[in-house]
Amino acid sequence: MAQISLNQYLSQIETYLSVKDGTSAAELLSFNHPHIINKRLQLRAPEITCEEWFESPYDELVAGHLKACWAWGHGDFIVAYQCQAAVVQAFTKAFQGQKDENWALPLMFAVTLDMRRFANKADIQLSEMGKGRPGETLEKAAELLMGCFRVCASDNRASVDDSKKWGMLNLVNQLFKIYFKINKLHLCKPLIRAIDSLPIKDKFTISQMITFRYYVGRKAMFDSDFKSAEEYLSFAFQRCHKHSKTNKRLILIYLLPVKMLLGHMPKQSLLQKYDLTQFSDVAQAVSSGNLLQLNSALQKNEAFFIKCGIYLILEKLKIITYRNLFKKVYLIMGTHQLPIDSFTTALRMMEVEDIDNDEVQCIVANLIYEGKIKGYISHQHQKLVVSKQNPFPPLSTVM
Amino acid sequence: MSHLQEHPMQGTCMEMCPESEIIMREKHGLLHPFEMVPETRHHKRPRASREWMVKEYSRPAAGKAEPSQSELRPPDVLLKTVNFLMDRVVPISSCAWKDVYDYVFDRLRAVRQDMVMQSIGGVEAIRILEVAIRFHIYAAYRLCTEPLARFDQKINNTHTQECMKRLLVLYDNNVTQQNYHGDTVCYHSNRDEFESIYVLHNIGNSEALLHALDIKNKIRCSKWLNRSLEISRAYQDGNYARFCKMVRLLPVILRCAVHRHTAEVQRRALGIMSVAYSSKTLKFPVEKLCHMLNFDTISDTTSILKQRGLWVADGNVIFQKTNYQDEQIDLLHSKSIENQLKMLNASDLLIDGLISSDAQSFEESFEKMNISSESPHSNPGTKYEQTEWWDE
Repeated sequence: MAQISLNQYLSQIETYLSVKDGTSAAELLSFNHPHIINKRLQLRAPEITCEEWFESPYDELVAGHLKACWAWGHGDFIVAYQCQAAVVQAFTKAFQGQKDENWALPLMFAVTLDMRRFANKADIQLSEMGKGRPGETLEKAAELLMGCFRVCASDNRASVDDSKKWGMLNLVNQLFKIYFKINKLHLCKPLIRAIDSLPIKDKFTISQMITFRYYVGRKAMFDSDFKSAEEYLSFAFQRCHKHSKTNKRLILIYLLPVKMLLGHMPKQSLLQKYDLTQFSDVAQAVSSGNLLQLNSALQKNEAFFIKCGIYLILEKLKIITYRNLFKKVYLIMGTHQLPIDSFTTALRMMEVEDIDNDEVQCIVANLIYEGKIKGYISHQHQKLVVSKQNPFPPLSTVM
Repeated sequence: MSHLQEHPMQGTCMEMCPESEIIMREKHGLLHPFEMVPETRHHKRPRASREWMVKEYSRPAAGKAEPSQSELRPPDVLLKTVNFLMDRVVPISSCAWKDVYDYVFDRLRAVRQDMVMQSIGGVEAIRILEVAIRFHIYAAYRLCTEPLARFDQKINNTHTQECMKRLLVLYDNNVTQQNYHGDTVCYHSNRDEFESIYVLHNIGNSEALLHALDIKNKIRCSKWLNRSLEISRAYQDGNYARFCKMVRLLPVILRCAVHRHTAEVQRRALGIMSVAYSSKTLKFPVEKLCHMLNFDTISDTTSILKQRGLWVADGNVIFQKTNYQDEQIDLLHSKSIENQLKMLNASDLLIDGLISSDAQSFEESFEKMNISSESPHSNPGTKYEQTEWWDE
């Protein structure tokens, strides 16, 4: 296959397209296939030859692919992206004209995936040259993906088996990848709604559903909706194949903070298994109410946590650490009327030096307001009076 | 691709306003009162005072001719213009300051437009944007009680944000640059101040926060940035006590930057306290609340509490969650910021920024220690008067 001639190659594509074999056609037009290293197929100007073989817009589609092979062969991803964008545009045109049939979906998956990958690399090359805005090419790629998405979403006439709607989730997942990368999370919302309202939403392949829930879970986490985040990310983690260790690790990076915010601390063995011991000090600090340890654990792995985009979420663990420390004070004191001073002393023991009673009262007030402590503060007596029943309700019931 | 390589235009207009514009605006009666020769102000056709003419902003529109070189001002003239606006126009007190704001706002916008058209990105651009940001921040505070019809905070904020985004990019692009003599020029002397303003102005915004976390270990001095981050954390945690305490210790320009968020913090605090201190009998002293939440006076605090349905008697408030009505708190001028501003001259603040207010925070600490400070620095008017004198 790697040494096939141009005519042989074009004739094969022509056959597959005419018998509507989307899977085989997709292979021959994908960069996951060995034909791309074939020098005879890396062509700078294949337009005229392609016009002889194919009707419009398929001629543009195939010509764009061969040009992309040429650019790829020269390591120029900026041009490769432009060629691949033309492939996707031609595909969208053809796809729109195909009524009541969805055999071309594998082809769509292949050409859009390559486009997104090229866009990624084009942005890197542009920034190395000091040109363009970061994420500029990815943004353009997202627009083209949306073009395909609209064709799929508006296919209301075809029967379930022939519906183009089966392509929606793949595109949505690709769009998520882009929006998370260029930090445009607000654009995810209409996509989530579109998938959630699909009658076939639970019938996609399991791998697509895992990817979808992974991103929806992350989005929920950033919106501070921790309960839904836990649900989506847990699904992703449990159903992800046990050999996909890298993916399971990725899911855990977001599931761990969410679980901790809900009061569930991870076992050391889990963290070791997935090489995520960066979290062990954090977890230990939170459960023992040690603020100093929490701060130093966050600082020590600051770069890692920021890179994963969870640093700000982990900072929210501070309030739970306070809650755990204050609960200890309550257990030690063995009374329902707790002097504010005792909390201040406990914090000072934890080497939180620069804190006064006003701030301690304020922290306690926040915990009461959020329902994490049941009770009230008396300023006159400088005391926290806690409820006789269940003064520190389990965190999972109050988040 | 090719347009990227084109050489940007270089302006040749050596005055604050191009000659053609002076003639045109004089002829059509488009002079601003500040720009008229005073004696001709009431004439049918006032004359232009060349010393005061500054190029006005004109919206780029389709069909309009590209500006010629003679209409664009090179970097040093732009910087001179900005300093003129701060030094001579900002202090004008013969009209409402809102009118001064409108004038300076427009002229600064024209300066930025000239900058963009010539792709100016060096040290002058940094200095110009720094002053423009301080001006917008200062104005947002000074005009915070104006009705929407007279002063639109949103528009002002959009411009602040635009200048800031551009400035932060310029800081990144100009990490080490050398001047003609091969000396490394210090482009970043004010970076701490502006990274802090960015965090405080956008408090609660995670993008700004992440930027600050990323940058804080990369810049040489981050004294104020670290404090601003602390304040931002206190804001996130709902720790109103810490937030207000730390804000009180900021230099005045940073206080102005964070001022627009204080009313929101106060409001959240009252909501939280109404739940956490909720009781039918227990009292909380109003004086304590006033100090803790940076309200101005006890009577202000009392009326804010009463408006929200809470009981106040004998200088104490009774928090009760069932009585509390959540309501927005109007933004007001703060007495302590007013006092800080009185100690210095607005032009100095806008041109020198933190440096000028740092001198003032020294004084504050002197005041606290009850030591009279009679050093020549202590008279905030000194520097200004001297320059005035040399100019005559």
